[in-house]
Amino acid sequence: MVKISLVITKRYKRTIIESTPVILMGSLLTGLVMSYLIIWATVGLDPLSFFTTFYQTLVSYTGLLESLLFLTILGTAISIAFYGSYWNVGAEGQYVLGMLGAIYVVMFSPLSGFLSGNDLVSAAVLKLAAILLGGALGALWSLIPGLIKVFTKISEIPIMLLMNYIAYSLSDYLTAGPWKGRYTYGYIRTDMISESARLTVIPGLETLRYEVVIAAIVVLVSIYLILDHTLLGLKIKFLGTNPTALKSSGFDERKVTVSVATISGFIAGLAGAMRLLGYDYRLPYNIGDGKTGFYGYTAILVAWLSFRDIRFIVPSAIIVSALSSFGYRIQMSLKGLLPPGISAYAFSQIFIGTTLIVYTLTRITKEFSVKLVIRR
Amino acid sequence: MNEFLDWFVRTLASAYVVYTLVGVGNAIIERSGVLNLGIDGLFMLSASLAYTYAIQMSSLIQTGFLAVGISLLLTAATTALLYSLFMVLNTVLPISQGAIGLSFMFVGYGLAAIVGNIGRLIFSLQRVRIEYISITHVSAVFIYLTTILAVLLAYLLLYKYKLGVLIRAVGEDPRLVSQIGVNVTYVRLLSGLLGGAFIGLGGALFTLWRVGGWSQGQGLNHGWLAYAVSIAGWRFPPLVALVSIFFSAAYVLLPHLQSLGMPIEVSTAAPYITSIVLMVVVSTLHRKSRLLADPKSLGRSFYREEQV
Amino acid sequence: MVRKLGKIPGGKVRRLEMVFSSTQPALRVTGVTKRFPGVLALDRVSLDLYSGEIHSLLGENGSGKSTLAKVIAGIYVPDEGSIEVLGKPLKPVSPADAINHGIFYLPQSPNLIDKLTVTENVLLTLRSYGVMSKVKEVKGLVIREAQNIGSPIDPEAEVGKLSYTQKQVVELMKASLLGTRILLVDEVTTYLPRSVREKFYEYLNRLKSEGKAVLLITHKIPEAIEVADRITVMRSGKVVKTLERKEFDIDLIRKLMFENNGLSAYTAEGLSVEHITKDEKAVIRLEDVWATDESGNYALRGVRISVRPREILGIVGISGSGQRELSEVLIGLRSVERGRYYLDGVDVTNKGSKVVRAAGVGFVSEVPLYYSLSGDLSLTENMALVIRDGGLFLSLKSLSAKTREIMEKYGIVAASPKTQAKVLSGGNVMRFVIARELEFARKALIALNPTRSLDERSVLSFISTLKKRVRRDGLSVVYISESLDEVLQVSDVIAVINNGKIMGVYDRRTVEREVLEKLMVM
Repeated sequence: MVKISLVITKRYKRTIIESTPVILMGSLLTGLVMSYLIIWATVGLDPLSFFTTFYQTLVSYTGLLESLLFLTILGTAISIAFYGSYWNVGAEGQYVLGMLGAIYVVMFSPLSGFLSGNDLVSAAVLKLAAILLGGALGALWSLIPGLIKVFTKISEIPIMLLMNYIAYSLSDYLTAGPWKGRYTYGYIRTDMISESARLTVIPGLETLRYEVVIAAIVVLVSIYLILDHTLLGLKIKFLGTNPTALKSSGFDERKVTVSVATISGFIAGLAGAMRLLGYDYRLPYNIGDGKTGFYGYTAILVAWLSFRDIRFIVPSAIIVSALSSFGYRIQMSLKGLLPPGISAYAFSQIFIGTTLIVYTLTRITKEFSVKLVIRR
Repeated sequence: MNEFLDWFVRTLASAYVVYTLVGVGNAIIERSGVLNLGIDGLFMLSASLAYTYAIQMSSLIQTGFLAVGISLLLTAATTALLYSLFMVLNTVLPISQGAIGLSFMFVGYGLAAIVGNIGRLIFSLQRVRIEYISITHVSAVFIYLTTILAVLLAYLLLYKYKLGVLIRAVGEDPRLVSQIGVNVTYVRLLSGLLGGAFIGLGGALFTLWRVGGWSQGQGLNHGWLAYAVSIAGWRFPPLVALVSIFFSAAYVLLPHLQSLGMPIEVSTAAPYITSIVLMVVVSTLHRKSRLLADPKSLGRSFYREEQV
Repeated sequence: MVRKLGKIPGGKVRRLEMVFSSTQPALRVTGVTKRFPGVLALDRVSLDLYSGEIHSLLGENGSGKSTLAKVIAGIYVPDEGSIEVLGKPLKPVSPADAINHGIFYLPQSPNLIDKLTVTENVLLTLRSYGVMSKVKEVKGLVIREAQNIGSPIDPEAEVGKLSYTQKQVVELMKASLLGTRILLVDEVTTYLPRSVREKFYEYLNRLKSEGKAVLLITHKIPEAIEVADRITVMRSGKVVKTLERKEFDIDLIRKLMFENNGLSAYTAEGLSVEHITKDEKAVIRLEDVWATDESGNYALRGVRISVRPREILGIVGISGSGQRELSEVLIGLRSVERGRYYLDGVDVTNKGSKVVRAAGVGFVSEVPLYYSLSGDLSLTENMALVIRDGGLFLSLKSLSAKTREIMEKYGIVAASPKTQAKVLSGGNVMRFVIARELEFARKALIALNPTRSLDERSVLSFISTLKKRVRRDGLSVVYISESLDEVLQVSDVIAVINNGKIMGVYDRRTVEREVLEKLMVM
C-alpha cells in the first residue's frame, strides 16, 4: 500500500518564493488562469480574445488611476484593521455611510445654506466638513460590530456583511424618502450637489481629483507612521499577533480593538464621501445593485494581497484595479460570445475568490516548507 | 382558516425548514473548529445547482416528482463534496480560515451566477417543465417532519456517537487529538460531508420548494441569515431548531408591517437587523453547559508539527 | 491484554517468545537526527529499549530527550535515521502509526480534551471502534479498566473537572486499553506528589513484569536511579552514554549530564534566607478571593495571602490547583467574583492589568509566548510593550539600543534586536522575558512556574538575580511553582495551594517538607 502524506515544517531558509512580489504576481496570474478555466469549462470561451482583452486593459492605464486611488484608500483602511485582527469586510457599508454623510453636509445641513456661493474658502470648509462627517459616519458604522465583538465575542465578519445590506437599505430609504430629488426626470434619486461643493478636477487627467490624490497619500503615510512609530501602532500589532501579551502588559485589548475599528471605518467613510463629492454627485436608488462599484469588497482583495505590509498596498491596488476594469471590459467586448447573465459580476467574483485561494495557499510557503512523503 | 394555513405553510414553514437545515449544517461544521465563512457563497451556489439539476433531470426523467427528488439529493451531494474540499484545505495546511472562507464565498457567488444561467440556457433550448415541489399541505407536513428528524439525527450523531465525539474533540484541540492518533483531516472531512449535505439540502429546498424558481442573485444573504440562526442557537442542533422558529416568524412577519406604513427599505433591512439583534441578545445569556460552549479551536489554523 | 502483532509469523508461541526475549530489543532507534530551525535537536541518536525493562532517558532541559520521545511517538518526523519495533522497521509519520505498533506516549500535560467526559476521551483513542459506534458501548470498559488500575473514576465526569492525578489515570487507562507494549513516560512524575509518585512507580513495575517496555524521561537524577534498570544520558541532542544498573553513580551521571558547566559556583551563591521585616505593610494582599476558570467553575476559593517588601512568598501545589488563575488575578488578567485585592494598600480589585502594571509589578510565566511575547514581532517591539520612554510616539532607535543592552546584560543569544521572538530557542525566549520583567519590576514580581523551560544553570542564575533584586531593591515576589524543591530553595514564606484554597502558610526555616507534601495532596 502506498501512503502519501503531507509534511509541513517551519521554514527558515529564504527562497525565491518567499518574496512577497513573486507570490503576489504568481497568485494573480494563477487566479486569472483558474477563473478563465472555470468559465471556459462551464460556458466555453475563446482564450485568444480573453487574454487579448486582458492585455489591452493592462496597457490602458489612465482609466485605471481613478479606481487605483479609491482602492488604495480603502485597501489601507482594511489593511490596518487586518493588522489588529479586525476583519473589516464591512468597508462597503462604511463607504456608503461616508456618501450619506457627505451629501447630508452639502445639501441638507444648516452649513449648506450658509456656505453656498462662489466663495472659495467657504466651499473648502463645506467640503472638508462633508468629508469629515462621512468619515465619522463610516467610523460609527464600523464601531457597531467592533463593540459587539468586544462585548459579546461574536465574530465581526457576519455582523459586518449583514450591516453592509442595512447600509444599502438606509441609503435607499433616504433617497426615496426625505432626500428624494425634485429635478430627476422621474428617476428615484437625489438631486445633484452644487458645483461649488464638488472636488477639483486635475486638468489633463480628467478622471482624477486633487483632493483624492492628496487623501490617498496622507492616509497611506499616516497609517505607515502610526504602525511603526506610535504606541497605538505597537498595540495594534500585538492585538493582531498576541492579544494576551497585550493584556498582561497592562493594556485594554477592547480599547485597541475599538480604536482599530474606528480608524478603519473612518478611512472607508472618507473614501465614500470623496466618491460622492468628486464623482457621483448624487445618491442613486438601489445603490446595492452594483452602483457602488463594490469597491468595499474589491478592496478586501487589495488588503489581503498586501497582507501586513503597507508597502504593497499600492502595487496590489494597481493590479486589482487593472483586473476589475478588465472584468467590465470583457463583458463589453465579448458580448456576443458570453451567454446572457454571465456577467462581469460572476467573473469578478470568481476571480477574487480564486486569487484569494491561490494567494493564501502560496503564502504558506513563505513560512513553511511543504513536502510530500510517499512511502510503501 | 384555510387561507391562513396556506399562507403559513407557504411562507413560515418553508422559511423555517431552510434556516433550520442550514443552521444545523453550519453547527456540524463549526463544531469541528472550522470557521464557516464560505456559507453564503456555498448556500447561493446550492440554490442555483438545485435549479439547474432540476431542469436537466426534468428533461431526462418524465416523472416530475422523481426528477425533483433526484435534484435535491444531487444538490446535497455536490454541496457536501464542496464542503469536504473546504474542510480539507482548512486542515491540511497551516492556513487562515478566514481567507479560505471568504474565497469560497466569492467563488460561490460567481459560480452560482454561472450555474443558474446554464440552467436557464438549457431551459430556453429544451423548454422542459419543472415540477417544483408544490406547497401542498401534505408535502409541507412531510418536509417539516423530515426536518425535525434531521435535527434529531444531527443531535444524536454529534452527542451520542463516536463521530460526534471526534468532531467535538477536533473542534476543541486538533493538535492534541492528532497526537493521540486521530486523523484530524478525516474527521473534518466527515463533518464537512455531513454539514455540507444539510446546507445543500437547505439550499435546494429554498429554490425548489420555498421560491419555486430561479432568478439572478437568488439566495444571496440567506446563508448569513442561517448562520446567525446557528450562532444564536449556540451551534447545538435542538436549540438551533428552536431559535429558528423565532427567527423565521420575525422574518416572515416583519415585512407585513409595510401595510402599516413601514417603508419598504426598512422591511428589506428587517431580517438583517433581526439577525444581528438575535445573535447579540443570545450571546449575552449565560451558558454554563459544556455542550453549549464555543468550540475552542474555532477559526484557528491547525499546524501539526511544531517545536515545543 | 495482548495486542496482535500483525504480520509476525509463527503464531502465539513465537509472539510470546519475542515479547520476553531480551536479545532483540522491543524498540531500536538507530542514528536518528532531527533538525529544528537553527537547532540540531537530535544528532544521530541511537537507543535500544528491551521488553521488561524500565529505561530512563536522562538529560537537562533542551537536551533532546522529549524530542526523541516525540519522534518515536510519530509526533515529529525524523530527518534521518531509523526506528525498529521488534525487528520490524517503523517509519512513523503520524502518531497513529506508532499507536498501531503498540507505542503509547504519556506526556507531561495529559492529552485529554477538557470539555469531553472520561468515556468520550477514552473512546477517542480506541481505533477499533468506528465512527458509528455508540459512546455507551465503551462505558463498561472504562469502569473495568479504572478498577484494574486501582483508581475508580466516574466515566461520565467532565475531564476538565478532574485532578491532575486523575487525568493521568485516564491516560494510563487509554494506554492499557490500546494494548501498549512500549510506554513513553515524559516527565509525568515531575508534578506528582511523592505518595502518588510511588504508586505510579509501582504501576510501572507491574508493566515491567508483564513484559512491557517503559522509557522514563526525566531530568531528575535521583528519580532515574530509583526506578530505572538502565539509564541513557543525553546532552545537547546526543546520547552521551548508556549505563547499566551497577554503573549508577550520581556524580558520574551529573558529570555526563552537564559536562563541566561549573555548577557548584552557582549553587553556593546567594540562596540564604533574607531577614523578614514583619512589621512593614504588605505590598500584595488578597482577601478572601474567589475566581472562576473558563468553564465557570471556581478555581480560587477564598484565597488569602500577603507579601511584604523584601519577601518571597512561595506558593506550591500540584498542577491545576488554581496556580494559573491565581497568577492571572495577581497581574490583573482575571477578574474576581468575590474578595479584595490590595496593592500597596490601594484597592485594585478588578481594576485590570493597567493599574497593576503601572504600580510596577512584573510578570513571568511558564508560557512566555502565550502570556508575554508576540512571536511574530521583533525583540525590540516585545521590549517596547513593557519598557519604553513613555509618550504616544516610539523612538525605534533608542528602543533598539536599550534592547541590545538588556540582551547583553542577561546573555540572550539572538542575531539582533530585530529578530522575531519565535526564532529564539525556548530557553532564550524565557530568559528574554525574565530580563524584561526584572528590568521593569519596581514593586513586585509575579512568577508562575518560571523555570519550566530553563536548564539547571539558568534556573540558578535566575534565582540568584531574583534574590539580589529582593535584597537590593526591596522587591516583593510571589513565586508560584509546582516544584516543592524549588519553592523550598527560593522562598522566605511558603503557602500551599490545593483545589483553589490556601491550606496553610509557613516560615521556610521551620517548616517540615512532609507537612507541605501532605497539604498538597489532601
